[in-house]
Amino acid sequence: MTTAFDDKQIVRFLLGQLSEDKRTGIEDRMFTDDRFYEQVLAVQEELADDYVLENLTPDQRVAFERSFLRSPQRRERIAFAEAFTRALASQTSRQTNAAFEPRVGRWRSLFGSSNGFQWAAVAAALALLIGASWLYVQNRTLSRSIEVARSEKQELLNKDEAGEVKLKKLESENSDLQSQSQKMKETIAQRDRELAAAKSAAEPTGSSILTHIATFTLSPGLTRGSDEPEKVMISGKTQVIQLQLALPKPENYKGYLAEVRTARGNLVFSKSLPAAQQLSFGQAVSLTLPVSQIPIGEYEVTLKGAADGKLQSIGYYYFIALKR
Amino acid sequence: MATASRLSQRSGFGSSPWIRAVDAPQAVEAMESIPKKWSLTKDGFDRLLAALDPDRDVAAVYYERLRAKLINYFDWRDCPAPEDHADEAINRVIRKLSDGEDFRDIGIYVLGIARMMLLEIARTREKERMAFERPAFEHPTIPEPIDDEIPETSQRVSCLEKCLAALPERSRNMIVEYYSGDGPKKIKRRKELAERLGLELNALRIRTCRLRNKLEQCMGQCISRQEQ
Repeated sequence: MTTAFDDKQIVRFLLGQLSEDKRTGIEDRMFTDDRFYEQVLAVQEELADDYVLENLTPDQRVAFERSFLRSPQRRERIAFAEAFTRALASQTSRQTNAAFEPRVGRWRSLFGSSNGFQWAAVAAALALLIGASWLYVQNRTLSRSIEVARSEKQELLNKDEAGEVKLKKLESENSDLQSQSQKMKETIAQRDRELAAAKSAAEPTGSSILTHIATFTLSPGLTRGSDEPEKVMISGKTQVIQLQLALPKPENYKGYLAEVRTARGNLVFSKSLPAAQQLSFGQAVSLTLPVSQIPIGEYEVTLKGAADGKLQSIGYYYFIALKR
Repeated sequence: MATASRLSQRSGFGSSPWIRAVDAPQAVEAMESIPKKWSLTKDGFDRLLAALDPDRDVAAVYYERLRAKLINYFDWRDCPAPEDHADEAINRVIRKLSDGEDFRDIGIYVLGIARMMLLEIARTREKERMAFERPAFEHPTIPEPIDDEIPETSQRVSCLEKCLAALPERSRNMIVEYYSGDGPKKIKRRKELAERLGLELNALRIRTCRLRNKLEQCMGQCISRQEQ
């Protein structure tokens, strides 16, 4: 679902006045919608112009100077807006001089002259003006038709190009399919062995493993509104932690592969998982991790869906493991 | 930093060399604590381009856009060295690609990485605060521009005038008309201009913003030529 953001919200975003939730919403949209990103840039330029032209309200001006001017990159926007405004003013006055003043002069000279041909000249000028106007209208109509034809042609070319790109991608994906499938089988076999080892480590005396499991629910990306990954508190008795990985949207994958990496990107654990379960908050995949393999630190979990021997990344989850 | 930026011709915001010069010490300071464990190779960068689009030229455009988005992301989050952070985020994506990762949407993945880095940057600042016993996220004072850091406004204006004159007449008239007038008059004029061009007002706004960016690039090149 795409959230709509108007110019006022974008201005508040640029001035650092939006709530964290809305702020991340705007950032999400910028990274998925190029047109929206360009709109944000355009609003930023307009804000800089308004500052230079002193069109901001006193409150906006204070907020602008407090937040916007903190960065050298954004101060550069102001410097450019100032130069741009001046250059445009100079260009406008030049165009005014070139386009309008001489014409006024010519008309004045026609009416002010004592020449006997003045009315004939006026009539000729009017005829010329009407003719020129008609030509101008025709020209504009033709230009628009050409523009429409061009854009239709471009659209067709774009569609062709997109089709070609898709075909190439499919070919490349197919060639990778077999090797990925083999890799997945090996990973599954390895993780099954690791799980068996973890289970035996968690049940040294044959007591119930349930008393030593800590369960946490993770959402994809970072927790909205705080920008902090989930903190997974591990007490001394905990031998296994269970992570419920909430799916961003309903999925129909028959199986999943979860990979756990440190903040430095080193793979510490990976495991094949069964289909998602329906929980109170939506679909989730359950990942069980032996505590022995999760020292204190930050982790990233990559969840991949498996279908027809192909793996597809569908979500990234972050957590910080802490010992209680 | 040895990063993707060396392989790209930068364009768009923040490309000014004097900004880089001003930021350099802060950038080094901020990046010191971010783990550097991997270096970019040409193969890695090629892999990124291939993941962005099979056509290398199209991929280069996507890459520039992604990098510009990241720079703005870190800048709007008040990070000390947005360009270096952006390159680091891209390097991390390249590393994942080199490990055989397959992304459904690189843009979303990059944003996830950028958010993770934001935490790392915040932690670095916190460590510094603890070390020097100064308040975290203190509002930096706005430094006065130093004469040789930012070119004279008159030099910029004169370059921009040349760049405006070099624009095709149609584009020049469009941008001049778009920005002329004041207050309600300006809004009315923009609506009329959009109607005449058969565009939505927002589409006209984006089109003029792109022209403005081109003018900024042209101005930068003009200033560089004059300084040589």
